[in-house]
Amino acid sequence: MEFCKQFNARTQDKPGKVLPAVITVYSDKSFDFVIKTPPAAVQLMEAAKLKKGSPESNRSKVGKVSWDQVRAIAEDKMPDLNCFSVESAMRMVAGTARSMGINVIGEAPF
Amino acid sequence: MTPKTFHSWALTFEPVLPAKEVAVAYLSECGFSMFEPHDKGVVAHGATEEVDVDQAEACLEEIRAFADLTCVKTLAKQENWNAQWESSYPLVEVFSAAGEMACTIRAPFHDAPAKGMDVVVAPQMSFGTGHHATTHLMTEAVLEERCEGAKVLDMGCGTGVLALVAAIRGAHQVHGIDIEADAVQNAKDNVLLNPTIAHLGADRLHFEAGDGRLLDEMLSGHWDVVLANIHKNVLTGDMPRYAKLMTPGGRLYLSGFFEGDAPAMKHAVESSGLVVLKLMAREGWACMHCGKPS
Repeated sequence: MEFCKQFNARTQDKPGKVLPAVITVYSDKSFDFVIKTPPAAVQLMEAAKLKKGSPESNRSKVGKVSWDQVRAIAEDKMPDLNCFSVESAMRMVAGTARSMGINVIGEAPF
Repeated sequence: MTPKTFHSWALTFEPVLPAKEVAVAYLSECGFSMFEPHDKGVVAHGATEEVDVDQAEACLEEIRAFADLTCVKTLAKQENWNAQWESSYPLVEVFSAAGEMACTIRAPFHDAPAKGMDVVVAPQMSFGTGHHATTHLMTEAVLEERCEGAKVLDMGCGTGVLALVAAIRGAHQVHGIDIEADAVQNAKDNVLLNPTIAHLGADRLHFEAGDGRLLDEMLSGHWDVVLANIHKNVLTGDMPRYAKLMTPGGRLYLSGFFEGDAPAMKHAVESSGLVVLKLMAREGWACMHCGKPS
């Protein structure tokens, strides 16, 4: 139960978000955990406002995001992605958006 | 304990990305709450009463548009992962400010203490064995509090340990509330393990499942002491409710948040017309003693 208490307290600023966590349990039963950033796909749904409550939430996910939003997500995800530049991270995020039926609006900045 | 059942869907994708990520994003909208990623995909878990299976199926269909997908569905029963620990763990001793042995929180398999208050708690899977710093701090607070004849409300009661301490100390009425029905049953079971309070009727010692909304049906100014060892967001959200239900001159004890969050908590306390009397800390966790002006 100690873990639950600590996890809840450490994630209190992110209610309702999907958060990846890497948990290490040591042989003496103590533990440590690292909380990562939400998956890009989850952040894209938020950015495109396809979250719960939207009538289009789960069928025909058609939405739009701006390149600025893609950049913000890419920068946030950089530590978890195998990318050397923000531009390549942005390409990955934009690719994920396309798969989800989310259009990236405007001129690509690269 | 009422066993829950969970949907466990083992999903693999070709190509893996971005399908794996998209699946997590979509299924989290359909009631799946836990995801175990692996190299080829992800295993998604969700309580059966929360998962919308039709909606989840429709989501997988959308992913099939850009990835080959396999899905093996199973139903998993809730397991008591805590059973091994429950069968053998050390008891907890709480000392008074003067350094005297004040209270022992122990399991039925431990020997009764020679000195101080004896509280027996069989934890099952609920929170509140005394081991956690927050339970320890709250127990110290209840032991210092004038419980005799008082009306005590315990929000987020878990095993009921704080309510039990208050009842053993002679509180006139004790009411424990927890969002987990299992915890409420556990607290009721624990009452029976403590001979000095086992006979008390529901008018004196009562546990109920629910959240802060239950407080809206209670009489204003009823409780002399309110205990809440929960979580920062829940505490700040329910603060006006606590303040309303406290008697003038009543005390409120808050824990379940980090020392670093104490300023935010103080702000919430003062915004509800209460005052901070003392801040205690242990292992980075805080316990705030508050009062309602008479």
